[in-house]
Amino acid sequence: MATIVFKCPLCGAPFEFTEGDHVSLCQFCGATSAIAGDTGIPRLLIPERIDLNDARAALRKLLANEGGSEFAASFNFKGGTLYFLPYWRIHGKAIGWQWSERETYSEEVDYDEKGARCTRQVKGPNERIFSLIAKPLDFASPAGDFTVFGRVRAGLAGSVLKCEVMDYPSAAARGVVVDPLKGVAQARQEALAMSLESAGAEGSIRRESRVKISSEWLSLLYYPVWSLQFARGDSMYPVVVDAVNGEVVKCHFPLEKERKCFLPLALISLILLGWTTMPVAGVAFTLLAAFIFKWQTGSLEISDIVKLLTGIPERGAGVKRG
Amino acid sequence: MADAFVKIVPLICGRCSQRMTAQREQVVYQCGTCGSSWELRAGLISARPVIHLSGKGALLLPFWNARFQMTCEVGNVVDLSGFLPLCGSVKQPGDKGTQPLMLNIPAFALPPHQAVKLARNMLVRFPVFGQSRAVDKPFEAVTLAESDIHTLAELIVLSAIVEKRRSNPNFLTSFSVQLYDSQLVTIPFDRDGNRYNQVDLNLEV
Repeated sequence: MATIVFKCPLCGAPFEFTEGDHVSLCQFCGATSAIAGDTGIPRLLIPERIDLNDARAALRKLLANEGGSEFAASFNFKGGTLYFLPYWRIHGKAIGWQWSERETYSEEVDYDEKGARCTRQVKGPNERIFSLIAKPLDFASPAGDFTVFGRVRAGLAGSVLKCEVMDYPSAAARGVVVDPLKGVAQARQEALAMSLESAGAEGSIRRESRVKISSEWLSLLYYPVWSLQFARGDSMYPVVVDAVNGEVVKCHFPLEKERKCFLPLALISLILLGWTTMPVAGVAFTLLAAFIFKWQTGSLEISDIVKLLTGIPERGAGVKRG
Repeated sequence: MADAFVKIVPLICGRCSQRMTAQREQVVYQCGTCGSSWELRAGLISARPVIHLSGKGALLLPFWNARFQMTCEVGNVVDLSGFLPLCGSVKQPGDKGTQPLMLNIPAFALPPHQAVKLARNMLVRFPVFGQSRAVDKPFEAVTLAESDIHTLAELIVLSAIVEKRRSNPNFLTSFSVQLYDSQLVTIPFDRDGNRYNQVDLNLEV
């Protein structure tokens, strides 16, 4: 359950509510206050904890760890924007009923003419079950399609971190506040579908149900992420960094090294020179070339050698998240 | 979508201006000084009238009392004479047959299964209470909001109609409950350890 920080209306001190509570006590002045939840949908925000420089540094560190410092330095930072992504949070109880009908079978033992024992399955009357559903509901769902931002764990973070009431002008001055595309009705349907899934009516041939949300505490929680742009040559590389914990949520930096023409030509010339002067020098120069291949490519595979000799750029998985 | 609007309202009694205290899940607040009851309505502290019903017992438990009618495949059911046969009851309502159907939904903290059971027992026993002369007596904390009683009301009525709900899915899909004139009442109970007893109704929860 999320903890939301407000200001006490009487003394102005920070004042905490837990999601679902109707009333809370100010620790400073001792006043009891209630939250007016029936006048709109509370918009809450988890404030960003890292700035643009920290986000860039987090990405650089990841690139250096996984691709080396030279690889990290090959990308140029082009800028970044803070986004606040909206998530629906629904807290309450799923209350309703479920009726299901399932087939039942029993095993019947029989004996044939020769006295051999055999069993057969006999269909019995259908079993009809009516059950009451009363479950706590704690649901979080993106209020739009945010696949471009990767898998941000906002629902989980919203349960652990303290939230603030959304101050729109302040948030809009810091970044882009994304509007919710998914309506609250759809979010409620998803929450109820989830509670019905776990209600268990496996194997039923017919199922009817009616579940509603009771004691609902609904809010729109905004979660901050940094969207950064990096470039190498003409290519742009978008990166998404979680603005709360600095985790790189989404990026793809392919490994690509351009070979200089000098090295392959020099190695070929060395081998040819060795074999044309004397076999011992040829063997020595070939071993020397093999050592340089191994040092440059990390392996002695034919495909790597061909790539090095022909100057083909090396491509690979590189650094990827999300 | 409604505007972003979060409002924190200090709980101050509208009658005597004293600070009120309340538990976290409470939705109706009773002033400890003058005994009046209040609730939040459209972001404002508004008076919530509470009717105290008479009976034996020292502890006042709050209930949402509402008249209801039921719609199902057999049509509209509006009184006891139509409702009791659906429950499989052989009890004759007698001159109470034309009485409107009444629900008493527990408004205090009770697990949903127990709340449904208690309300169902009160429904099928169709008790008639007198009104107590007591005014503004302290009662147990109200944790169920008026806006949430409809969800529980359907379950309570369904739980009383045992055979139909089990055997006939068409009955269930056509079933609905409409509530009218809901009000907050208190019914006196006795506390016996963790249990509440109502001697007049032979109820225990």
